[in-house]
Amino acid sequence: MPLQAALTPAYLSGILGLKLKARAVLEGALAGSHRSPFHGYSSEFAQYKGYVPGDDTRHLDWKAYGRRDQLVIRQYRDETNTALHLALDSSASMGHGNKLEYACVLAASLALLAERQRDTVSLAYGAGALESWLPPEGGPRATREVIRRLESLRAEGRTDLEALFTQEAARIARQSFVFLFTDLWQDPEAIGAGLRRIRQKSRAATVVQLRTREEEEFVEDGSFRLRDLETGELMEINAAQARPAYLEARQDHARRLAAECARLDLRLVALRTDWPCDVALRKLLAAG
Amino acid sequence: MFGLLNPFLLWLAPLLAGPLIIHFLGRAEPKVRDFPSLLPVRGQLARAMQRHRLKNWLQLLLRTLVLLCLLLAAAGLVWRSPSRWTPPEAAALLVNNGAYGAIPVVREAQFRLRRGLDSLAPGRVAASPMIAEAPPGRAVARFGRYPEAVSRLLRQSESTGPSAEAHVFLPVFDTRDLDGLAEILRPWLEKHPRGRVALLDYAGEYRTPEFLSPFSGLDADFSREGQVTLRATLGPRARESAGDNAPLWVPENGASRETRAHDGRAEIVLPLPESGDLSGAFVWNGPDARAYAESLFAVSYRIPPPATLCVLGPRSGWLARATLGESGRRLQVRTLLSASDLSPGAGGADCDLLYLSDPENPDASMLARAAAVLRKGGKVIVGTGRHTDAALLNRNLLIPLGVGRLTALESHGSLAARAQAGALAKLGVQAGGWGRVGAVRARLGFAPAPGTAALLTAKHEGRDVPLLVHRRTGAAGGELLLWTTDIGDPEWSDIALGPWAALMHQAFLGGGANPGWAGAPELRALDSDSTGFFPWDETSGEAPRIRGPRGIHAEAAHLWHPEPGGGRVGPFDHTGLYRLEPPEDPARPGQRFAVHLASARLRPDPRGDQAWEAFQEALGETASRTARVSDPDAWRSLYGGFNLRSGLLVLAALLLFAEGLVSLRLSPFRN
Repeated sequence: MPLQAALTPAYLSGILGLKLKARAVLEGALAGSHRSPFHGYSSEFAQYKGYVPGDDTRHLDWKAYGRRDQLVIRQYRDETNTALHLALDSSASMGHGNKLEYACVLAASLALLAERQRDTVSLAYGAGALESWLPPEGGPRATREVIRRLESLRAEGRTDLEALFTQEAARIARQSFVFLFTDLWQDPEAIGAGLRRIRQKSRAATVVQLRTREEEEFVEDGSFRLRDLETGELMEINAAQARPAYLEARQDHARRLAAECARLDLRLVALRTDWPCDVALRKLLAAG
Repeated sequence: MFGLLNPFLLWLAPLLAGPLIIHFLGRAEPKVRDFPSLLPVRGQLARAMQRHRLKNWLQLLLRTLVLLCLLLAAAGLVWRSPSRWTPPEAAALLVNNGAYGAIPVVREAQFRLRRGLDSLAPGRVAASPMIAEAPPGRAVARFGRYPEAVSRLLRQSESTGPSAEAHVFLPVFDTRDLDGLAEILRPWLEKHPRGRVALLDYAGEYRTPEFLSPFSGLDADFSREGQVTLRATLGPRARESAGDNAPLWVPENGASRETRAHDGRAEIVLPLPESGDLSGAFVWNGPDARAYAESLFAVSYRIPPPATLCVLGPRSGWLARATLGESGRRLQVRTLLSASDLSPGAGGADCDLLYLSDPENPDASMLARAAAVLRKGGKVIVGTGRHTDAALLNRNLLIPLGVGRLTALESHGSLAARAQAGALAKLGVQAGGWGRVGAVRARLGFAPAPGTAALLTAKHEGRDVPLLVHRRTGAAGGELLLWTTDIGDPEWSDIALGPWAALMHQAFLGGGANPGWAGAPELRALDSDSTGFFPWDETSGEAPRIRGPRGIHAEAAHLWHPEPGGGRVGPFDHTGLYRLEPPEDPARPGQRFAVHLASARLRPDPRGDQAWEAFQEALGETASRTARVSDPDAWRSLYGGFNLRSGLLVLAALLLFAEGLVSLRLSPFRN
């Protein structure tokens, strides 16, 4: 069985801890890739400078020496570290299905990837407000802390993405990569207000919208009561009658979210939690 | 103005609740499913579920309406124009329990009336609330007892106007109903001064109902020796308009004598005959030219010495005692074990009456004794059966006495006792309509001699075969009653006569309800109203006084025929005859006076023929109208209305179609 196919959330959650899960996901995601999505950041040519004793001779441009008979050193941009900001919505709605766990796996995978790239990682999560924030740090120790925090995460509280994103934006010091893991079950206008803050700090923010199959397709049948996980509100539903209305409402919601992200020039990636994690991670990193 | 042709189907109205019951019983407590957040979809879901609920209720409504339409269509919803309808002048009220439907015109009218039962406009009351062919007990259950039925139907006749005539067909079978009817019809008559109520009995004859009688009481006083004082008391209704219309006493078997009422009472004193009867009637002419009659019979007779009934065989002896019952006081039953008991030395000469029931081994000497009984004026009943020696009977009894001759045995033939009524009538017993034709096990053919009367015949192979023959013989007036068929069954079920046979024997033997049998050694009276019967204990030494249904005092009364199992026995139940016995006068041993009072409720209506014709006319008119209620054209022409059944069925179909649309979500209410 190919590793990618085996890396389903259900499979991983049953046999591995978060760190191993994330590592497996990462390996699976990178196995078919020829270059790291972060490769360009670390090896991009910046400028020439005159060789002075003490410089690393590995960076001497021998071709330039041949042409001009002058020793020059090639300088690259990756000499400066990049910060990866991971923000998770841990509201009660993320407890539906395996959304929160799925988000944690993806976030841990990104943290491991950043460690491999020697980038720093920051972790923030909360529901109506920022509950926890780890400042950007690099190295295995920082990664372990991120994973430890992710493992202890619980879905609770009412969603207020505007507040969450605003507080997170305040902690982004410079241009960084930002991944926002959330189900976006809130009014798109309120979400947009929060995203605007993020966008002001980072031009490389990705909104990762997580959906379960039930949310996507409303697969239930018969009559039952829906209970809002965040408010406890009950609503009597006949699935056959409610499905068309729900799907229409969901599509409208998705359309408005997409419009909001497009207006802010933010990347919106919708993932379904029944997809294999590596596939999701690859999709996440594809345009990263 | 809407009406229903068959409102009884409205009893099915609770079925309309069926869809609702199914709906609510089908609602289970729904399970709870978690959902991330309803916030973004709440509005749309709420609207969808509102449509869902609306659709559900719409479906329920449509289904209920479909059922309602079908119910109303089945119940025959009709509409008629009030302006096109005029109340009739006469209303026919048919209260028939089915047992009396044998009258062709009534049966035909009943059949047609039933089609339009309760479809009539108020006032055109013609209904047969009873179930045809059902026993009275079951029939009355449908509308309640007769008084309730009449009350209900009369309420509908309120708009018939003051000139309306109500023709009430009511079997007078059960006189208890008359009391209830009186309470109902009196107020109705007060409201309708020209209203007229007549009762039609099962024989198709009009009778004046007792409660409409102008007389509130009739009495007979025997306190004077050799005389009887007859009194009639006018009731309030008659007293108000008495004037010159005083009661008149018209003896039927003597010169007319007239009397007039003073202070509401009329009295006449008549000499009592030494033996025989005296009958007459008080007749009162009402202001509307109607004549009401109350008849009174005074009967005087001398009780003959006790007679001895000899019966051959222990079983026949038991049968005779069971049949005669109380009459054994005057009719001594003597059981003969063998023919030798008939010899003069054994007391056979004392036999006044002889009953030979299917003698298995009759010998010549026994038959000779029977002939001797006849010759001295006695009575003999001979029963025959499978073991009867027909030749012996012919030779020693029937041919010498000129009765006729028995012929070869015919067995297992089906016989119809269709002449039963005629036979009973010849014995002075009124026939009733019950009993079922059965099959005899065996019978003998019989060729009657001239002068022998066949009381009961059966149709056999196209000819009438006598079953029961009667013959008077000898100068002393001996009488012979011969059964040519097997009546050995103690219940006489093989000839389907039931208790009739017993009564016929009894009538033959001298007892009976017929006033003409005065003087018979039988002291029994008939009374259908059990409340009027009190057994008299002769040993008590008291002089009992019996108060009958109309307050008539009597000394003693006996049921003519005990009611088996509490049931009733044919037409004897309603003759209303009483026999009164004053205390025994020691100075005149063995003599008693008896008075039979026959209530006027059984007297034919003086306008009987006219009333019957009027009833038929009203019935026909009503029936012809009601018979057409199922014909939409007839409705339109009669009432300017419509039978809405077709429309209701179409509407039900449309509603069903709409319900289907809603179920298939093609409802215009969707989205």
